[in-house]
Amino acid sequence: MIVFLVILHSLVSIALIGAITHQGFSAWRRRAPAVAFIDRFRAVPASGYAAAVVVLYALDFALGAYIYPLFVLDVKASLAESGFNKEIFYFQAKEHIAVIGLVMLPAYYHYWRRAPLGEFVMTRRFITTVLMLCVWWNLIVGHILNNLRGML
Amino acid sequence: MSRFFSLRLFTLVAGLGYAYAVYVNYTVFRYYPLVKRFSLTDLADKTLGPAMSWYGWIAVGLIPAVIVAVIGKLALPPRVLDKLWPAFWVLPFVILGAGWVREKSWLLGGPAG
Repeated sequence: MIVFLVILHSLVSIALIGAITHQGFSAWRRRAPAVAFIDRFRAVPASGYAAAVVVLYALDFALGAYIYPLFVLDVKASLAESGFNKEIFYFQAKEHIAVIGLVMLPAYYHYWRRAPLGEFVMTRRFITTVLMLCVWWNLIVGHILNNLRGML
Repeated sequence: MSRFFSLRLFTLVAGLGYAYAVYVNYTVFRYYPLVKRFSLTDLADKTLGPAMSWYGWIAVGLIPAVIVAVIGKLALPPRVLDKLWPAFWVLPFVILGAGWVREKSWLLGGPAG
């Protein structure tokens, strides 16, 4: 069961990273014809991603919070015994960074779906970029530590 | 829902509450995963395994955030809430700073408290 949940956590993370990265790049895009690949990548209706990002983030956070005790007992203990304190620090940072994303979600939703799109443009870009960086950090660190545990 | 609930106030209070809880290591409850047990007090018993404060820190942020988000939405005019935007630029760094204080000992030698 726990293996299934870890895999589901990873799959939801990948869906989330796709949505938030599209939106994050789109939020910074100036209106111009999408010719190059990167322009086509970010030429998406950014506000349409907001609800999906909120749902995926909340689901991913809930899955991560549910399997977290197992990490504390199994992975963290093994890493500590092996002297991987730096790697533990990165995961502990993930713990706090995940909460940054969680608490930013309501404001993020407000600025994308409630506020007029012509106002608060920089704040919307900033919050979206923060959320995107949180998701990238958490996916990379989680993936590395999961692999690291397999080597111990 | 947004007629009775300020999303922006919720974000600010939840973030600041969590940062405060992490900074001073204040939690409303702890979870002992080895014995699958919640406790309102620090049991300080090694046979129970490690204690997790993270869920409790989140609760410290979320509980007042819900209350303030409802009261603030009813009491504050929208133009006041519109002026809160600079706080969202600062909030992630406040939480990161609190997290650094709590976790820096993993980098500087020895496990965090």
